[in-house]
Amino acid sequence: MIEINNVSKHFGSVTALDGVSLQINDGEIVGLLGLNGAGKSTLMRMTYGLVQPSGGEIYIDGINAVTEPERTRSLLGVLPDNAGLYKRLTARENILYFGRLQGMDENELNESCDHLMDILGMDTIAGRYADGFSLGERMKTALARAIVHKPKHILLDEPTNGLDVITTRAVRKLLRQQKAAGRSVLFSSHLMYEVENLCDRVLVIAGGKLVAGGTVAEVVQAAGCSNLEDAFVTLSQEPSHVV
Amino acid sequence: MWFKQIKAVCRKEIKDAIRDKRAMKLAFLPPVYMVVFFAMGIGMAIHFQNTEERNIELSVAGNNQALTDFLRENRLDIKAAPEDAYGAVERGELDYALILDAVPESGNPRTPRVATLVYNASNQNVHGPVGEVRRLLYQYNGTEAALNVMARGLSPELINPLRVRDANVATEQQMGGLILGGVPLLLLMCAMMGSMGFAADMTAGERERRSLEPLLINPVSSLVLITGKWATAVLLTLAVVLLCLLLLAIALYFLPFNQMGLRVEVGPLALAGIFLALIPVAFIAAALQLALGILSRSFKDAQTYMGFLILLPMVPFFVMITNPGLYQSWHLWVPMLGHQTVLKGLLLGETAPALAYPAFWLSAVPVTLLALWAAGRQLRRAKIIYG
Repeated sequence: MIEINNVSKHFGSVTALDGVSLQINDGEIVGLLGLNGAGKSTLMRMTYGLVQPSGGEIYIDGINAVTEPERTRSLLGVLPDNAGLYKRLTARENILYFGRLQGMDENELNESCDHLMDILGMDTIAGRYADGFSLGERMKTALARAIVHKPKHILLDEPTNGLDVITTRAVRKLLRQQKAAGRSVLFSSHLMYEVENLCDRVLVIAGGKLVAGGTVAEVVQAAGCSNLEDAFVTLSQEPSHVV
Repeated sequence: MWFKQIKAVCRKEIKDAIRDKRAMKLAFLPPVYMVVFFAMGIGMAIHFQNTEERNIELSVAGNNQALTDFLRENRLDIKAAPEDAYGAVERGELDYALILDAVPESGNPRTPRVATLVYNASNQNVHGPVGEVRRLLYQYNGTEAALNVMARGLSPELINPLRVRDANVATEQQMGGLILGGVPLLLLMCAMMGSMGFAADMTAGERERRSLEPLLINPVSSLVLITGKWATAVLLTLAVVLLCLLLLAIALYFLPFNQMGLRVEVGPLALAGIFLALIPVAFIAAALQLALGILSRSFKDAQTYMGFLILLPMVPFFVMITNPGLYQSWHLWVPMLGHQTVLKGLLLGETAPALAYPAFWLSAVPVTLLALWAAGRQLRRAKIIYG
């Protein structure tokens, strides 16, 4: 379980996040919606411990992510925004490297790597250098690399951005499998249908605050709209939420 | 666990480095062309020395048969100077000339006469031949003076109360030091720049291709990452240094030093000693490169910052080459200052001072640790990851 309690982040005089509290349970897929600059990436970065919060606490399975980031990092699988690959390594080598850094046993690592490459349809690129990969190929490799160590919690920053239909379906299938295995997934997206299709719950961030949370139906109802897109726009543009 | 992680980082970085053609060229080509240029320089020096041994040409104005005969006997090529020999030298038509006064008409052939050696001292080319001509003139003068006093029944020793003799105790091998003075600089530069491209790619490159953030999300401490990268950089630097030493050994073996009256013998033991002395330099170089690299946003930026590391060995080089007698034992504790003297000694077949190796290694440890610590601290700063 990921618990975020009253977390704030200030960059100088700018408030990126203001008293955000939320909880992500095991076996749950949660979508994080927000306009560009709403604070989604900052919230994620604090959860995986690369940015220190200005106030508040973050716990992952009861371990403090702010004071013991190295312990919580092994529980997390993260696909950050715009993640780069090692272009002189093959797709497979990229994935194996991170598995080794996670301290995985070689047999288990190879098995997990094969499994992920199979689900994501990466057979043709497994042995190719990452230099010259298409956006979709890069994204698949980065995703497999992020979860090769079978983390309990998965954080994905816009994982299906720019992917073709077949790849998007593969990613969706993969995320549902993770959920079925009792893992929690938090992913941010700008694609409403993606969120509607996949998520058990939706969180909306606007102006550094969490302005709505619940199932898609609950959020739509709370905003007094008829669909998620309208609800999202209404919530994001409400005067009190605009910075 | 951390050892396994360091191994994983090192393994990946070596694989990455070997596939990086740009950095490989940057690392392994400089030793090749540095040694080639060195060999060419020595080769040309030997060639010029051989040509210099040819007869010196001397234009002589005026007539003194005994003197010109003496000069010819001493392998000088005597030619008649143009009428205005002084003007010709002034105008640059002749490099130098000897003007002899005419025999006085009154008759005594033993009356002292003036021989004027005309040259332009700002012309570097004349110093060698003019020096030789002057030496022969003094020699002739001495011989004639001795004959004069002997003709008067005196011993020629009377006019030589002081006899000056040169005694150069330098062995042929020590004289080789003059020519090998630049080699320690060449080796130190190899050690300083060997892993520059790789270090830039492992730090600034990670930032440039945005792989630093995903890398840091792994449960690996900054120190483990930096140590793995440093170990890679050290291994690659040592490979570059080995290549440099090997090429140098081949060049020194085949260059005809004996033609210069020098003996240069650099055996396997000396090479091993030099290699051992350069390992701590590689330690320092790799750590400094990583510390500078992580502050750079891009590969190109990093190369600019690291450029100054190549200049570091030049400081002690110029200090030592302008003051050869300056060496003090504390120099051993200053990285690269002591190396200048010790490496030269090893090349000349001397043994290193007993303290040299402990001093080199112990002085490298704090510098290396400090640079690695600084690099590790920078690594996780949000400004570095997202900046």
